[in-house]
Amino acid sequence: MNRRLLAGLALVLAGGAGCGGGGGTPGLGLSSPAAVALFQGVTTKNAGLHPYVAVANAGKDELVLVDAVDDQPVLAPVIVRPLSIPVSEPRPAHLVAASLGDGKADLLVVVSAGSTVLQLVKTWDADTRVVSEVDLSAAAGGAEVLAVIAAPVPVAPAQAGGAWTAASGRVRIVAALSGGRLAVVEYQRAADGSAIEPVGAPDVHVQDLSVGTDRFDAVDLAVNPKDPRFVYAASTDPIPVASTTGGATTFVLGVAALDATAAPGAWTWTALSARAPTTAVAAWRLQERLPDSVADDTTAFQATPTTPVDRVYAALDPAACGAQFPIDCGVAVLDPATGQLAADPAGLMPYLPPIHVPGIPLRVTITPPPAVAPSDAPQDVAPYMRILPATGARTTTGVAAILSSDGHVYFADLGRWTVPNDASMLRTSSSTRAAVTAASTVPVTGARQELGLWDPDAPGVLARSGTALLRSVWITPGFTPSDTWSVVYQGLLPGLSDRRAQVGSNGGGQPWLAIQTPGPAGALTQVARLYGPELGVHAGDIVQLDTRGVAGCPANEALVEARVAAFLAPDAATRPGGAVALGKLGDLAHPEWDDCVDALGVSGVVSGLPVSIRASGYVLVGTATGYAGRPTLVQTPSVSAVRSPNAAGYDGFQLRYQGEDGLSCPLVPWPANPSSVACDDACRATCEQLVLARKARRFYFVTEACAGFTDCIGTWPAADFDFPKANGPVVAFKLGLQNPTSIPTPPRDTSLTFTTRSGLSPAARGPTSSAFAQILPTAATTFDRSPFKTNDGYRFYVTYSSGFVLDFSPSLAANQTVTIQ
Amino acid sequence: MRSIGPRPTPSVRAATRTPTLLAIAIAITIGCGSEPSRDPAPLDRFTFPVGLALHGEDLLVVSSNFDLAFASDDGGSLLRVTLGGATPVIQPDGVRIGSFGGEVAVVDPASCPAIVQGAKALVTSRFADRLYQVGLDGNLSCGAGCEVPFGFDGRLGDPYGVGVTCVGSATGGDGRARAWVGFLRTPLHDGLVAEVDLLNPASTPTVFSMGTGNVQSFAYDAETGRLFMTGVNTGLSAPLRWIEQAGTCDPSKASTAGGCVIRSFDLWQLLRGAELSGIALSNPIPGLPRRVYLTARLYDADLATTLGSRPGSDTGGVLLVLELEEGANGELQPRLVSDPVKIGFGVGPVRVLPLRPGGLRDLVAVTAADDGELTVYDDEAGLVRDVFGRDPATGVPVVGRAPFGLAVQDLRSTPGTGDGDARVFVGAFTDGFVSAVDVPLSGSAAAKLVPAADGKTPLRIGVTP
Repeated sequence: MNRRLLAGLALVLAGGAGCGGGGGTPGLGLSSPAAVALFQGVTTKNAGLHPYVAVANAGKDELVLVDAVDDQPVLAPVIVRPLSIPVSEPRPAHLVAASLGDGKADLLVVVSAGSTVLQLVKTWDADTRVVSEVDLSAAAGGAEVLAVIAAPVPVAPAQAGGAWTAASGRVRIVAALSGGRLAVVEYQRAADGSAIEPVGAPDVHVQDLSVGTDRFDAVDLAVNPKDPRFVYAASTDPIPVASTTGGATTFVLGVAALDATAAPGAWTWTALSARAPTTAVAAWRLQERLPDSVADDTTAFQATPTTPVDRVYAALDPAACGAQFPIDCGVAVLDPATGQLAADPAGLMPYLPPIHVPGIPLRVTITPPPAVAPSDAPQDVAPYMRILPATGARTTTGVAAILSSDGHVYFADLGRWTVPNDASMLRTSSSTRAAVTAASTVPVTGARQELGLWDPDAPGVLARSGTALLRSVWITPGFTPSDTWSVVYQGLLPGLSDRRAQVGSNGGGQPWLAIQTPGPAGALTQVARLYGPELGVHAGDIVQLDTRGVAGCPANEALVEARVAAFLAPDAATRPGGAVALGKLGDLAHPEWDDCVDALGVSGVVSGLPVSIRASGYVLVGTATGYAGRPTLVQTPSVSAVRSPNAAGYDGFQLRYQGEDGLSCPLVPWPANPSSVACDDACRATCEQLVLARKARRFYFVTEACAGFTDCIGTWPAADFDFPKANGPVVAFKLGLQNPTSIPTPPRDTSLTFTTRSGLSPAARGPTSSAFAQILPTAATTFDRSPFKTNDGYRFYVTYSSGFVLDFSPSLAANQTVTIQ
Repeated sequence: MRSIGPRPTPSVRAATRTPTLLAIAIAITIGCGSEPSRDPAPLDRFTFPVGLALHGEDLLVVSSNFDLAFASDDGGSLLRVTLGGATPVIQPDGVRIGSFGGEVAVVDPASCPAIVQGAKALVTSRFADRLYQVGLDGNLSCGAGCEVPFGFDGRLGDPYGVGVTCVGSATGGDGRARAWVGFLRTPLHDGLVAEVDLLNPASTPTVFSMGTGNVQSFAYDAETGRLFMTGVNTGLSAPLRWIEQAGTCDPSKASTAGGCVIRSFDLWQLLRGAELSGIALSNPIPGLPRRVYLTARLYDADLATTLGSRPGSDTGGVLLVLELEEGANGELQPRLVSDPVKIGFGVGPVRVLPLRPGGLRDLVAVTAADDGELTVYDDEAGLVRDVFGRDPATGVPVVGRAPFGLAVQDLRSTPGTGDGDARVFVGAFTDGFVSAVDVPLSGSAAAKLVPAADGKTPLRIGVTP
């Protein structure tokens, strides 16, 4: 029995049950809602203009309406179900609404999936339905709508110099089209003074988003309501930018800023570099916090009348962000004035770290402060507004709802460039406080040797257990992620355990080894880039090979060992990831291993050899972080009194950020033709620094104070942690050995492990009932309900593909969230 | 601009469907008390079609006899429809198989030189618990060695998905051709897979486990030797799993003992509440990494956490597009390349249309059975290009109430090259017909339903005019 049949039977049962009961408001009957928009219009529910939420009910090919003031559906004339506004093509996917600036009914346009038709919905009287269509395909053959927004129309088509006056009674629909095109259609108030109609025949202005033959697709659009001169376009393509001096076209990964002051169809653009492609965009003007402020109130922000800043917020393409790329994932904060990412107020990184969001950010929607403040207190009056994470109320200047693939809707404090935490990162009373939560030494069975860490609070004492070991690992809130770390002597390098390799001879008697496997069609697969720095292979590292069956190698030994003698550049045909030259280990107990290396040096290519590579000394590995560097032992006599890795003279190991833009590595990213790239030892060292620096980026600004909590002050002394600017290592420690004199070299795999916790607990809103599945939020819009109900404040409406709409305000408690189904 | 008058509302359309729902309910009620028929499967029509495949100018359709209106042992069928004439015709040489048929895959010497016995259709029957190797040269035939029963291993129940891997040439003496069968019912939802040697029909299949979760569907990358598979009942995870078959390895052994490496990528980290269903690989396009297209049913992850297992109902369905690139260490690192594409309830099979002109990324066809929709996704543009569901004017489901099986035909004068159309055949599970949609590969025009010979009504293969 399928779902519809079940639903039908359920309806019958519900109807039967209803016969003897009271009334009640019917639900919306949502099925895969895909889009949402807020408009002022006329329906049968209320007299005169009134705000409504329009929901694209994709699974039923209709729009349904909700009264934005009381969250009740607009009913059909039969009052047993909500009013349905059928759309002319299946699966409505985009909705856009906008004021024409004349105080009358708003424009409401819907676009179905795979369509180029703008369907205009009648909002100006209660006969609510699709009344006209504008098909963009005539002017843009083969195109489809990727994104659509509304934008005001300037009084004059080319107002320059920043002047902008929005024309009353007119509004534009801007549609991003596939094939690197953009369409603009203008709507106006009709002569009867109430209806809305397209301008002209209608006039469809289409332009290519191209420079020469290079074009880009806009996948999302946004306008800064405080500066509507520009339409911002997110793109997963490199954005071509024409040279203003006649030079070559340049390409930028990020957001295009289209100049909407020009006539439609002839917009030019600049590009804002986000260091990665982008998938969603929003824009806003606001004041941002002072670089050194952790205040919760208005003092955190630039005091008025300081000029606020314009910002563009762009979700970074998950396919091109992260530790392997020039920027971490999240929502980038861009400065349209510079065309770059905003500056790091902590002065460490060459750009402001993106706003960290769990999961993949799908949409970004920004709300203004409420028009009617909840109180007369300065922190509640625009430009300020309230947010209420579980840690308590704060004042900010901009709030964004960020829809995530993990099903949650996070709300970002844009004035502080963060998603606030629902629990303190710093206070010991918080169960999610940033901390080292576990640590232990793991000696090899039967060995009389252990690793330990020099205790910063007890000079000369090697901590090997308990709280002493915990406190011997230095972490930095905002830099240290949740992870489990291991320091291992001659440990296996991450990703290089039990792999399959080809071994051959370079002709000079020295064997080479490449981790790769010939595929069924002959092409090499499972190619490890041994020549690149990401894997952390060093000269001198130990290669373990199962060479049984290879002539000249031990027939009965599962593993022979050799050393990495050198790195060999890639060759596209034979070693696309490069290779290592194998050298003899020189282990007097195993002369047969060296004989085997000799044998491999004169053999033909042998495939399918199981291989693992171990560090020659100590290696730090994080379960999530991967290769994290090579700690070295700090000998007892040289243990410095310097306990902070932020202080000069610190002699321990630290995984720490350094300016990645100053680290040039020809192998990062992996070049298209690596065989032409030379990288000597110095180059390799720089490359490794770059790889590690990218793993040590800040991911969060801690903007809270210890505020008299003595445990907090003790753990995070201001001298070492000057939040919010506190920069520091991801982890730092001074590695020691229990018996360094009697046993200077521990057994292989002697290790020490510790677990760190980031302290992040991003604030989100969701249904208060477990009856609603938080799966795949699809769209969001905002509504200021404060003029109607002061205490309701600003609101977000979020549609979920799982069949409901969430109505919430980040200024109110989580239990005041409303779910509309 | 065109003006539009009032249209029938969904409530009106729902009202028109009510008699149908009631009729189904009545039929089910009556069916509960009646003896099952002992008649074998009819060979002139489809009964709850499931798997579809193309072989040359023939369309192969698996009928599942889902309602057991015919005998359970031979109430299913594999029928051949000739497409070359003016009107597609169901040929009388159909082969009866057990009920509850599953997927069908075609293997022939052209695509797999190791196959010397001629072309075969590989189709499963859940009721008969076996794989059929139906000969396709000449009339359909199921002779000696055709049936591969899985009763030898009591753990194996409900064989469904079929994949094929082929290496080398028989003439070179090193040819390998394997069928891979997934099972939807196993103890503790163990992901058991049977490997059937197609060159040695008498051999007993090798059975091994892929981990927790029943294996549903397969896709093979002949370039890298990776056999991908989706699974259900995987607990609170959504693993895309694959076997690294490059090199010489025996998948039945541990990787440290000469076995093939089995890896997985959990899509829950990208989309909570996902359960993978259909799978297809992109066409190889020079200079571009391969992609995998996955359909995923969505369910309430929070409720699943409470229950400890997947709830029975869905909350939606999506198409996921992942790029398949090897990371620095050589291990495959799938990366989601776009937001999940919303499809609808009951997402099932996914098929990639033939290589497009100009190096464009693929067009992809997906069905959503519960929502009654066929969706064509354009991976070049990153959006849904066409949706075939209910007729907006009449409410009639244009590709059937529960479209499910898919097959794709290249209509270009020289298949594989140039511009032209691809024809997507869609099986209507509950309605017992197959319809077709022509999709311009260049994307220059909208896809359109293929008309019947009268030029007016949509083509519905299996429905007597």
